[in-house]
Amino acid sequence: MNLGELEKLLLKYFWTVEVADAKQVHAHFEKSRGGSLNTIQSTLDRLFKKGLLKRKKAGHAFQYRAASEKKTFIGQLIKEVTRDFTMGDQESLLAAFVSLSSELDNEQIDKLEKLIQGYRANHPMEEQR
Amino acid sequence: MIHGAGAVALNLLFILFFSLFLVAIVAAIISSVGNLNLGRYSLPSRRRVLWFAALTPWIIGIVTACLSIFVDSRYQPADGFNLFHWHHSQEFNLASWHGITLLVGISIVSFLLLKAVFRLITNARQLKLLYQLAEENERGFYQLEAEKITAFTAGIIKPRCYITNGLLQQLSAQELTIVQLHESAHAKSFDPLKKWLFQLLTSFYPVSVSRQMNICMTLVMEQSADARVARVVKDKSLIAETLLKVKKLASASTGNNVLAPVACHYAMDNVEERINYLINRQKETIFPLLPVVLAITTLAAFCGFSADAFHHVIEFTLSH
Repeated sequence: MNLGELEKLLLKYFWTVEVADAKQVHAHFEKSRGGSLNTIQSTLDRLFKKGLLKRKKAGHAFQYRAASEKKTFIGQLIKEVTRDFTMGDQESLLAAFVSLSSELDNEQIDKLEKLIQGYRANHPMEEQR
Repeated sequence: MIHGAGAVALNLLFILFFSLFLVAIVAAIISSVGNLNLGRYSLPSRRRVLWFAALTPWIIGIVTACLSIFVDSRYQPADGFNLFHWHHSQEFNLASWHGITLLVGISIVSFLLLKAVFRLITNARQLKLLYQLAEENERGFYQLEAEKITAFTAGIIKPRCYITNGLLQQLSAQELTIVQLHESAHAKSFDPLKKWLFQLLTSFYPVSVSRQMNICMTLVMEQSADARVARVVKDKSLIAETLLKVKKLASASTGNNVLAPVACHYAMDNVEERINYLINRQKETIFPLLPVVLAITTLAAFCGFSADAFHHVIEFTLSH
């Protein structure tokens, strides 16, 4: 999915307000970036069709709100992007700082902590740098 | 029946697929019999060997196809040089077992290629949206507003380093520098692109072999990035500690926590190997390339000799 500059701005706006209609959105962005009400309306419609906004009719206008909270949305996106490396590093197109595909048991963690402490005890100079 | 240059090309492809198949079988047998411990070899040496191994089926396939076809044709380099042989290089019958084999070969290769390209496109689309929602911070990291604990480098043409707020809040400035140096090392070496290429090349091996090769390559890439961090941050124990800390945080955030000692896992965690490599690094040796070259030459010769023999066996059986 690709987002245009205005779509991105509107999505971020809806992460800060609960609900708004096209006129309220237009009023908010009129000073900072200009643009017509029609542009705002069509952008809101595109975001709705992309599943990023929800809407319900209130009188003659639609009331829009974000389909999910920012953290939830980005968290879901990260999950999708990193899904291949949680399934197994050998399938991944990413380079993660630590692997998510395998776990360490308590014994392994203890062993590694002791190893690090042992190394530090034998190399005191390095710690000061 | 196809004659002439077209037939030569199709015969070349047929022998290429035959050799790929043979190399895959040999690789599966070798991997099931012995476990090659690459850990004692230096990083550049391991990387070279893995790339060489990934390219081997193609090298052998191309060499075998060229030897079998051109040695037995008007392109023959010397009279009487008849060890490699393909008895009808100038004709190819599509409605025969050659045609069916070729069709199967082309289908498998096309499927694997398309699958790799599809994954690449899907990944690029998802990343584009992630990039648009990320904020670049003063360290050059693309910061993501999420509680998940992760930092990664992604992007094939323009790799970028991403970090979540969840992880950022848990790290000290020094630890953050380590994570940043590590991810920058991945981005500078275009590791996501290399990973994709390596996965594509090894996908022609049996799954068990390709999986093992990719695990080894991932480990080499991670250890290389750690080694680049160690050039800047001299305290290796701090690098190791950061690795362990992030690993523990990530495990806790996914809800898995650390596993009980009875839990089964298919391989040693690469964090353990990376910490061991950082702290316990023994004297490294260079992988002896001569036996590898000899093995590949032997395998290529074997493929060359058996291509026509296999062909005769099949045609005898099918009364072609």
